[in-house]
Amino acid sequence: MEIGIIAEGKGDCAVLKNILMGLLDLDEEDIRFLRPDFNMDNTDKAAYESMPLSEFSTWTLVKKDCEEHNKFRSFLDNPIAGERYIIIQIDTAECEEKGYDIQRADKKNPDYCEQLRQAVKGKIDEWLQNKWADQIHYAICIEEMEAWIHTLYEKRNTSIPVKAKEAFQKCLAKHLKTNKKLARQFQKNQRTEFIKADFLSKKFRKKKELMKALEQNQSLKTFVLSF
Amino acid sequence: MLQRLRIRNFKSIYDETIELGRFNVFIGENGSGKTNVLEALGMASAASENKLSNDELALRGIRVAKPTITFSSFLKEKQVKAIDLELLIKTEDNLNVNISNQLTTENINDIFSKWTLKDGILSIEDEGKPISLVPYYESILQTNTFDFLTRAFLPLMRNYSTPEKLQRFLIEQVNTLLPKTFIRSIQLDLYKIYNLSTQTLRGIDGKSRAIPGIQGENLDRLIESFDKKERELLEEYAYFIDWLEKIEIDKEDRHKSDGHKLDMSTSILYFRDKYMQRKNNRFSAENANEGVLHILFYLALFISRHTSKFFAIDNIETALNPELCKKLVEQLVKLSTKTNRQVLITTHSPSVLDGLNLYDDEQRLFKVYRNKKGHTKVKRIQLKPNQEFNGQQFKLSELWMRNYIGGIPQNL
Repeated sequence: MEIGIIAEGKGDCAVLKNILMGLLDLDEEDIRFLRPDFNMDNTDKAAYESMPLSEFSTWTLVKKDCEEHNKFRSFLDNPIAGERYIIIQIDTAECEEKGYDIQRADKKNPDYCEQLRQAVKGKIDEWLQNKWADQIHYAICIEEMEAWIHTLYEKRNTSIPVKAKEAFQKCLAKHLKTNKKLARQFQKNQRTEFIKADFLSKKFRKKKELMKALEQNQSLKTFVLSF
Repeated sequence: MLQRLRIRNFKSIYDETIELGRFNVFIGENGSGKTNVLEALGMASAASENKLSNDELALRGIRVAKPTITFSSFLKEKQVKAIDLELLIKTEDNLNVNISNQLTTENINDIFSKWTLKDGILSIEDEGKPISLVPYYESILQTNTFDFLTRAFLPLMRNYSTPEKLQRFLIEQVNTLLPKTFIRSIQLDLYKIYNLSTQTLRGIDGKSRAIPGIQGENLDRLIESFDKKERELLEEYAYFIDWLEKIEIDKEDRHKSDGHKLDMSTSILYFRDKYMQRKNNRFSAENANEGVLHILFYLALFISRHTSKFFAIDNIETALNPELCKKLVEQLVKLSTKTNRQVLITTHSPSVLDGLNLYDDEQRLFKVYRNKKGHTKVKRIQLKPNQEFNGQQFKLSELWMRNYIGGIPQNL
């Protein structure tokens, strides 16, 4: 089995990779990062980095890939034999922006997570024009991927996070202060966004840790159970 | 043909089985273990001829290391002190012969320690049915009569008093010869890993007297040995080099004194450039561009009746333009059928892939990678069954570069 990942960021790719390795016992070689483009040449990279922030918001690039179909066609429909799937990862943090167009329900609603997830899934299907339905998995993070990683560092339900990034950074800072070994290793794993997230989420590679984490985050659980 | 190779406990290869075709291309990241696959076969080849000294291994293109690191040595695994290689050979009369080779050594910490081979035939099958070895014993007795008589009958006069003892002795002797006979039948005993050096192709810094050597030594002598038919076949491919008018061998090395080269090169190979004035259009190998030397070497290797039917090429793309690489591979595939070769090739060049036709089962592409334990894994890249051409073009090179095949580093 080979799985392609279309995600908002390289860090998101690293987290999903670790989850897949823990869940499906895959090797890194079975996992392909299709978005962001890790192999972008320097000319394209310069153009990409000079894009105005409005065009450059990472969910817009996920949307663009879904609408254009090129990556899906090349990965899923190419002539090479094998069972293949694509995971589409997207955060809901910016879901009310123009073009994403999702209205949040009341956070007090007990079905908030599932409703929001379903709405985003519907939106992705719309972008994809319902193609490749049997080969797509949806990694919809409510609100950000940090809420999933957070489950590895604190026994706390992170399903409906408020400021997920900040909450996780605060929790991590506490760990780094008290755990010298972790702090040392963390320092060594700062070179890229991918390496950093890979280090922070590597416990997902162990199925037992992953299964424990599921109970603390609804959207993570829904994603994992989709396999 | 060697149909299947199982490698256990050799360098980064823990336990891997590879189903080979005639023309086999291996891709993968640096350090994934591609060359280890080629070397494992080199060990089997050297072992079959009992040429297991460091010098002899190096001459086949094997990177020699002390046994402790030649045996796999993975974290959390107990080190096994033997290399196991299993070869499934399909003979010309369609028998499947399964041969086992086990290599051990006395002192695993000593790079000079002598390797010892224990080999044997595991099975011989005809269309899936096991068959008796007797006819093979007989054929060996006939073909190796002299060797056999000296080795068998002299001692038996003194030591083998009963027919049973004599029979046992004869069978032991034949069992020793049998695996070698099958290995020789596909010329695996002559197997080498070629990894060319431009300087060596120019006739400078050659280390081997073999024709040809693994780094491209003695290309001139190889071409010199061509008969008319081989020479004509080689000249058919002159179109690969736009400027090439003629290839010349200066048997008496006369051009050297005409100032065509310094005294650095021993090569007597010359080229004529069709765009230059005739009086000034001769170039020595020492002065020729590297592309022509690499191309010429590969063509000569596939054409010559003196080279082995079974060999490997490490990094075939060195010094070659991408489009040239593709066309060269396309032609080498054809030559491999025409001159009956079986080859293993490694590459980092996507364009090599475009020279392959994966609809042809004899042409195989393998991706080599390390799994999460660090073990080298080899996966054949195959096409979907009954793939219909639907007008969409998927070039293998592009699929590889766009990361749809794998075998490239993803997070540098």
